[in-house]
Amino acid sequence: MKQASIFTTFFLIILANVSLFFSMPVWLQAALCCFLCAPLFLTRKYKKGLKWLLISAIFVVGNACVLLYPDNFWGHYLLFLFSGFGKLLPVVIVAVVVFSTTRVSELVYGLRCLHVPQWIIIPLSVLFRFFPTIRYDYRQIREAMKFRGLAVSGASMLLHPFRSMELIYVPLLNNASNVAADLTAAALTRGISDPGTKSSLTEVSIGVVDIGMVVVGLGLLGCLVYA
Amino acid sequence: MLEVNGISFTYEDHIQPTLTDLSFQLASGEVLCLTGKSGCGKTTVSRFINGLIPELYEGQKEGNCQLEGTEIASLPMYQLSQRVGSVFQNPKTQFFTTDVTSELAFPLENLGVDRERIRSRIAEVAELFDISHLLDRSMFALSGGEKQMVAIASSYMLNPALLLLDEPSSNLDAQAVETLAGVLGKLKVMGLAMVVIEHRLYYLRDLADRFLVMDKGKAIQEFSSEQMASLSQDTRQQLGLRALSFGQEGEELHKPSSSVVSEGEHPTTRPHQQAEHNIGGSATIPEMKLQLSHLTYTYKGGHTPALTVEHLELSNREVVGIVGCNGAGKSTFARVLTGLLKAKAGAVFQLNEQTMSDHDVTRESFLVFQDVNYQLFSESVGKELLLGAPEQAKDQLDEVAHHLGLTELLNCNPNTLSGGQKQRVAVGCAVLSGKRIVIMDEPTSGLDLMHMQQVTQAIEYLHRLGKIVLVISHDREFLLKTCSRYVTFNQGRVVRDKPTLD
Repeated sequence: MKQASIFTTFFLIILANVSLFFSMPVWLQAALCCFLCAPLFLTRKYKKGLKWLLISAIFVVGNACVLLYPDNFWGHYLLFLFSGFGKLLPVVIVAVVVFSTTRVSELVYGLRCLHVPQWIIIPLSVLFRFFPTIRYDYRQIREAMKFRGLAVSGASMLLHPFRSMELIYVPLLNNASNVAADLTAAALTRGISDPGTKSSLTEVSIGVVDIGMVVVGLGLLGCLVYA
Repeated sequence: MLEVNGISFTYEDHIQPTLTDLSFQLASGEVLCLTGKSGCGKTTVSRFINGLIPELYEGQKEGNCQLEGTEIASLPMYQLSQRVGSVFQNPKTQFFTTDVTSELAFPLENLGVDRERIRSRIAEVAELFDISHLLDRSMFALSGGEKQMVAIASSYMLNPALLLLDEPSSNLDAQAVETLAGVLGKLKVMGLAMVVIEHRLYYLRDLADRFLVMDKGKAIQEFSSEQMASLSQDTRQQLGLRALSFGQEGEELHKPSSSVVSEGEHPTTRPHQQAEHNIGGSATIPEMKLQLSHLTYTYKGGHTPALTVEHLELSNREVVGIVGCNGAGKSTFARVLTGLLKAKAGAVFQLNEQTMSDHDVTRESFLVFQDVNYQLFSESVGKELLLGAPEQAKDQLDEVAHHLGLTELLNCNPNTLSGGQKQRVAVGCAVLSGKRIVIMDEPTSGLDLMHMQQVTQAIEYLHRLGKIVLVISHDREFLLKTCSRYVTFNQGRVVRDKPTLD
């Protein structure tokens, strides 16, 4: 099946963020989370989709059982965990969807269509470029730490969080600044500073999937407002 | 078509000029190789030509560059980018988008070329560079060689008149370098002028028309390709240049190299003399043996094991070169051997007959990464060397620093050092934390002759200390100088284990 277009993704981002301002009954939270996971299935990322459905299920069940929690520290902790983080869950899912289904070229095209200024588009596209790099860097740094006997296990990292953070940040940031300098040079020599209108190879067409997603999304939004 | 007239440049925060009064010319379809020691100003020349000076790098400049009769400084960056394509050293950091097709489209999109023309140009260029099968793939899933090929293709998208390549081969293996040479040859035939900045000269032997040797910001010699080929060994080494052919390395084997690593208490043993040395028996350091049996490792989701080593014995009597093409399992071997990857149950690691657990293995070993930046955590070299090392290591700090030529750098920030110096810091860390097995992954990528020799000396030092030393490398010139045994991997298996390289 055809993937949803970038504009539908934008719509999902707005929907998830709007949901933060309303209190949701449990059934609506469940419906919203399922709906937001849909693009993962549409792009055949079944494993990831199932994973996030499962996480949603845990939070929804946790939220449904709110009244059963004891009135002590752990009870409050659970309450905070499920209703606090549960509230953020739609936004987190949308973030996952954006990062795993959107191509940078599409995003840039979509933003250009919306006449978003260049100074926002470029940093955003670089951000996308950076995430996989940071994940790779992090792994390398953790391996390097093991050879020095520094925070070898996850447990020792939790025991000395500040020390570990410092050790990870220094090479991470050093590397990021090197990458940033190289990227700037590469982008400049490929004509990014051209003030004229840019074109795009990406074509975005609105399909049945998009219409379906928007209709369902608007339905959920209606429920949000009136529920 | 390109005329460089007496350019000088001093970077904003530097006192010394990086370039002084450099001039050269380049005709259409000509290939110029710009070479010389690290820090001689080669890259600065390229920045002059592609406009990154003054756009990105500020400083005091003199002289001018003319491209097809137009003064480069008078063109805005985006116009210049249509005439001059640039390819940089590190394939990992020069792509701006996340998939191959977008990367190729990127320069054309910036100029507002319409969709149909972008599409046809991508097909055309992909065909030329033989990367059609890579289109639509994620950039992160490509090998270094493939990334570099995409980078060159992307810089060729605007059909430039001049291509600048800054050490394009430094992160590539031998096979990828061959592919690179093939593509550059094609471009040359098509009449593209190129300036190639390089340390590795062998692949440019038949490609470059002229070689310009630089030192301290000046052009000191210019050779035609014939003159370059007939250059004597001594002259070449004096100029700090690396071998032009593999034959030249062979001849060099028995020449002592100049030493930054001073003599230790142990007799200095050149690795290639090791064989003879061993017959006599070295009394100074007890022999240490690492026995590996039944090592198997399969990556998540992989169907066949990426590594299968039935039995391998390594000793501190020899420096072992781990060779083989990309994806042969060399890095997997290094990671399993150092305990970063957990081998399938049944694997046995024995150091001097003592069986070791995975944790012991990591505790006893040290892997010097190809990208050593990830291994430097501290604000000074001195602190770096002692980080994670046992208490008594403090007493050895000066000695180790002295042997690795780091004494004067102890107070410097490791991030400001050159690639070769960083590598030696990592080696120092391995020594001070008392590791017994040290593996170096591609230690010479992007290093000039002098720095390569310093790495060679650092390895000799490790060897003298009685460490088990393994070197993963594609760099023949370097391997022949350092190793006395070569273990060749193919498809995750050891296919050859001999004291000579092929």
